[in-house]
Amino acid sequence: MTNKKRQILALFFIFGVAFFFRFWKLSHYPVSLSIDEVIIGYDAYSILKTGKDHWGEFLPLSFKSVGDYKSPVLIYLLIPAIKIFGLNEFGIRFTTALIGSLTPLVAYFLINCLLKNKTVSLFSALLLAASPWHIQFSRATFEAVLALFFLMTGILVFLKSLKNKGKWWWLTGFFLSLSMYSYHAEKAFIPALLVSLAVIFRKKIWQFKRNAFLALVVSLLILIPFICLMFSSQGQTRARSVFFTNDFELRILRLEKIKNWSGRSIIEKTLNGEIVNIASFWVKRYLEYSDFSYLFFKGMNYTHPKFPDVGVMYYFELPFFLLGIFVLANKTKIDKEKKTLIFSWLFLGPLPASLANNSQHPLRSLTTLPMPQLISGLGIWYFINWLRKVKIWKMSKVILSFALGLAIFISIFYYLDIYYVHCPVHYSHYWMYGMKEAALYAWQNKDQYDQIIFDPDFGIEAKNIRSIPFAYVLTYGQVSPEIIHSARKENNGPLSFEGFVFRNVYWPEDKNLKNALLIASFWQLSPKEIPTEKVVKMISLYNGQPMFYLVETDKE
Amino acid sequence: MKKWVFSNKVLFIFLIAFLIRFLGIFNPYFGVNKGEVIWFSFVSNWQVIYLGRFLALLLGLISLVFCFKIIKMLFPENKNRQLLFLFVLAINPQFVFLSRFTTLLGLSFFFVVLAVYLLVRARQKHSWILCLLAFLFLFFSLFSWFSFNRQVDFLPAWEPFGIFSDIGIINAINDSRGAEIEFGIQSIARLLYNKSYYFVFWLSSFVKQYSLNHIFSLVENNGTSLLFENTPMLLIFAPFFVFGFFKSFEILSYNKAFVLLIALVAGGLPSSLLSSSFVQDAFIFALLPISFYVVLGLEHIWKKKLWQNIFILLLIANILVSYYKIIDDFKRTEKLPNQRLYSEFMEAKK
Repeated sequence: MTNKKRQILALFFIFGVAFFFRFWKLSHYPVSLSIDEVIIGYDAYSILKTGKDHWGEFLPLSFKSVGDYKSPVLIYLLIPAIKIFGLNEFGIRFTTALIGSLTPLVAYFLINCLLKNKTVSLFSALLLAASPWHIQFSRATFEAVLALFFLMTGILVFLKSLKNKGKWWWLTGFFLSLSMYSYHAEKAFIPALLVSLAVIFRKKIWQFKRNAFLALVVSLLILIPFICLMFSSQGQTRARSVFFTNDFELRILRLEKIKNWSGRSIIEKTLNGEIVNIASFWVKRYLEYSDFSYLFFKGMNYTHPKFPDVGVMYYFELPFFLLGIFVLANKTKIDKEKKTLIFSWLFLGPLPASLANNSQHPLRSLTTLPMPQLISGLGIWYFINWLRKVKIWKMSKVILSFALGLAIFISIFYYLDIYYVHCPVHYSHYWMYGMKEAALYAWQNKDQYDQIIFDPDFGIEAKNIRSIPFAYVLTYGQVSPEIIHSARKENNGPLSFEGFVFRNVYWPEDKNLKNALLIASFWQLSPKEIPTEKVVKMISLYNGQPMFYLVETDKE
Repeated sequence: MKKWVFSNKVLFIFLIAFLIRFLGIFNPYFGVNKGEVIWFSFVSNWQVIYLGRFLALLLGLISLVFCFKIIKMLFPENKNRQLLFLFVLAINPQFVFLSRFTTLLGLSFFFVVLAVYLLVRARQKHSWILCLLAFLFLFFSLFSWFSFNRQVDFLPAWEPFGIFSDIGIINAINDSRGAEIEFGIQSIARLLYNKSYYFVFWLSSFVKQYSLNHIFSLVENNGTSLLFENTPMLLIFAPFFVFGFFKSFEILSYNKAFVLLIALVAGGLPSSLLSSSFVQDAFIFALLPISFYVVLGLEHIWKKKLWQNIFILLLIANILVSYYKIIDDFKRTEKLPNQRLYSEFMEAKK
């Protein structure tokens, strides 16, 4: 078999693995559409039908969505899938799953471009194809997957174009700009990575300065609306709300520190003051991404604390990851520039996540990919090479190879069990499980009631989850966008349309309503207080725990 | 480097180490450690606590001397490496605070350092007596932990390995096997979720300790730590540690680099076995190899004068901020002064 044929076969294999992990039972797992998915899906549907988002804004560059001003690219790219497959779980998830399946292919070319080693590229791309970190976000509608795809493509084009005097650098500018439009984390990551690229490849960039200038112009032209948006109140809302200075932990720390603040000297205020505390808190947040427990054991948070869980990388990758870094730092004969780029990417990857207000956030640190997989792949390649060369008893080589294969199999099998079996049991409420069933029931029986009141708040230990039932009602009722546009315009009191009202249910008062259907969790409609004959339906979470009660009031 | 210059530098570093450990330890309002009170509860005079602190200071300084001797024996030609290692340890916040309070961890640490010194010496002299002595001190180190627990609560010997009796883990395993809600395929659940998870959980806790934020940044919210929520090592050393760690096999001989790696792994064992959550203070054993990796990074990167000056400025800033923060946080934790704490304890004991 020729080298080219082998490479094509390898590419098909990578795509096949990635496709399988991302498309298998896509409609059923995650067990329900999350808040973000359902609103993104409906916004895309609204654009498809009317050219406006569900707030009635024409072709927006920043979607108000649920008040968090979402990036636009994914929503626009969702339109063809929704047109073809309809407004349902598969249609909403299709685009990210497809882009997620294509990303390991781009990773293959990118890593090959960096290391000039097809075997390592194959291992790394396969690791990315089966990576829990990437699969998790590719199987649901997350913009970060799209942004990562454009980011990797942009850097690939940049590296490839080093050979042809930077002729395609304008394409790099295009892809990186698109990536910045796609997800918020890239807005912090790409400028930082570009600075490193400019420093690392300064000589070549200076050599081909005309093409570099062209790339800069293309990027700026694309980014003009984005820059304007960033300075607007809309653009700043998101940045302000998620910036790490709003972190709960830091707020407590600062509150403790400002006790007796007025009586303290300038030295005290300087050495243990606001700046020092904020800076050291950010350092802590950034360094938390070096936690191997997060990377290999607990990072995905599929289960409760102390339960068996999965890291953002597989258990078996841990020794190869360490070996890979040793090899990369000491052994490989790759360009110093490219080696520096790999380490810069690896260290800058967690930067956007560390600037935001949660600790160890796998989604926001997705920008680190595919460097961890590159390093693990390098480690595996080095280990296999060592195993082939080392003069030891043949049987021990067979045993070691078998052990490696077994470790890979167990790791993947274990991850699949956690993802498909345990995660839904532990966390179906975070995926808004039950909202679909409630919305469908409400639509089926809508004619029997004068109004249907849908409560957005629920939770297990406390009423601490706020959903957006209106989006589920819109999606599963395939409601025409014009209806929600006019409902949004009215803007007095709670949101209501087509006989649905979305507000908190309060049984002592709402029981007096005539011919109404109340949908709420047991916190508002406790089965102890409500006569059994009034309960028309009970909806449980995935683990069987009763959560929502559908209660009708007196007819007349 | 001339011999007298080297000696002066060593003396100067020891003077810094002494001052940084000594200043303020007799301040009666600088008290925090209940262990100190419990330890001296058999004596009626509360001021005897300071005797314990003086002993801790002495043990800390002697440990530093032995650390210096170990590095001298391992790298007799490399004076810079010896000085840097001594300096990094002398100003290490966790080591400093371990030498300022009466904890049995300080005694345990001293025995470990002594044992390592004797092992290195035994290897050089080919003496089995020294080797035996080294293992005796390692046993003492272990014994000092157990005796502490036994005196307080008369706990069984395996109690320190708290990870194996964590009720949370046991419940988690049972629930994963479907004890409360039956789901999935039971045979698979039994195959995947069993006692081997103790090992996975332990490994997870073990590797978590080596996270850079645990070493160079704020520690976990752990009130029992002597450092409260401050940094066990100075932040400025973090990049040097990373560099030294990954370049160690290139800089050192294969054997030495491998032994160093083993020391790093072994250093994290006590703290990971003690509890299912992170025990910051017990991670002190790993700080010796970590300090050495920092030294490797420092001497490798330290080439240009400009970088040296920038580093020194940043180091001074880091020392000032770190120590001030620790002391300031210490003062404002509203802990009881020793005298009151002691009398309350004695009353409760009656």
